[in-house]
Amino acid sequence: MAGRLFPDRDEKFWTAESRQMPEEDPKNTDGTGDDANRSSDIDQQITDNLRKLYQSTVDEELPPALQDLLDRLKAQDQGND
Amino acid sequence: MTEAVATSAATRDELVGLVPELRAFALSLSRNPSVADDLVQETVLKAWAKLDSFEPGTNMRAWLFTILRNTFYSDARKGKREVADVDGAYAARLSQKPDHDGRLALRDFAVAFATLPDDQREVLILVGASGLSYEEAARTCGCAVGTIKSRLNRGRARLAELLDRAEDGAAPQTEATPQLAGPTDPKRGR
Repeated sequence: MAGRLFPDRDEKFWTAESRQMPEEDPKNTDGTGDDANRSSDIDQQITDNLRKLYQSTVDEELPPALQDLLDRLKAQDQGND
Repeated sequence: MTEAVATSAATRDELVGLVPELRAFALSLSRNPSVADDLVQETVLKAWAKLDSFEPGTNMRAWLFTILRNTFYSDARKGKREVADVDGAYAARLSQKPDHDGRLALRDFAVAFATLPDDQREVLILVGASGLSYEEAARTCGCAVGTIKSRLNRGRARLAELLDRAEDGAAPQTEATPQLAGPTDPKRGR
């Protein structure tokens, strides 16, 4: 299992901050505030889903053929050490 | 056990520990589970054979991803690349249950993600999911940091467009390109 996958670096790229979205104005009544919120929510969905997608494969058991290969390589090297 | 042997064993263990991440990167690149597993096997064999050239203390994840990526594009140039299975790449891995909070289901996101061009998918995974820095991703992809940032921006913008459309009630559209499998692909659902 892999360790921590998402270091803090570059984090802002994955947030609404990096897209320079306009700050919400509480007095705004023309709907742009809602648009900004929605865009920010989509940004967060992209971030979350990308990580989930990656992690879903990382969390799987290795297929037998690949596990066999690793076992053979390790056994071969232990014989050489 | 000598120090050199211990170091070598630790390096091999690190490589083995990163194999699950190699699979995730391979799947995002190939969009075909069987191709992804073949890619990982080939990458592991190559990496194991030249483990002596790996410099301990440097980023093994980036090193392995570079080998896998080069293998993928080399195979593609030789025409060895199998057809991608956009719908099926993640289908069997992900729950089909819709998210209760109304957010786009992960499965739909996976389909949208799989429609992105190769260069955008790979940087989204390298930087956004695996945690490589821009500089490491640039070295892995053999391009400038600015190119990485540009690809990330375009990929994110395209995903946002697809997700926004999906939230409006339309399913994410898969753009028909020659290398993408259609919905009748026999590998679908694997």
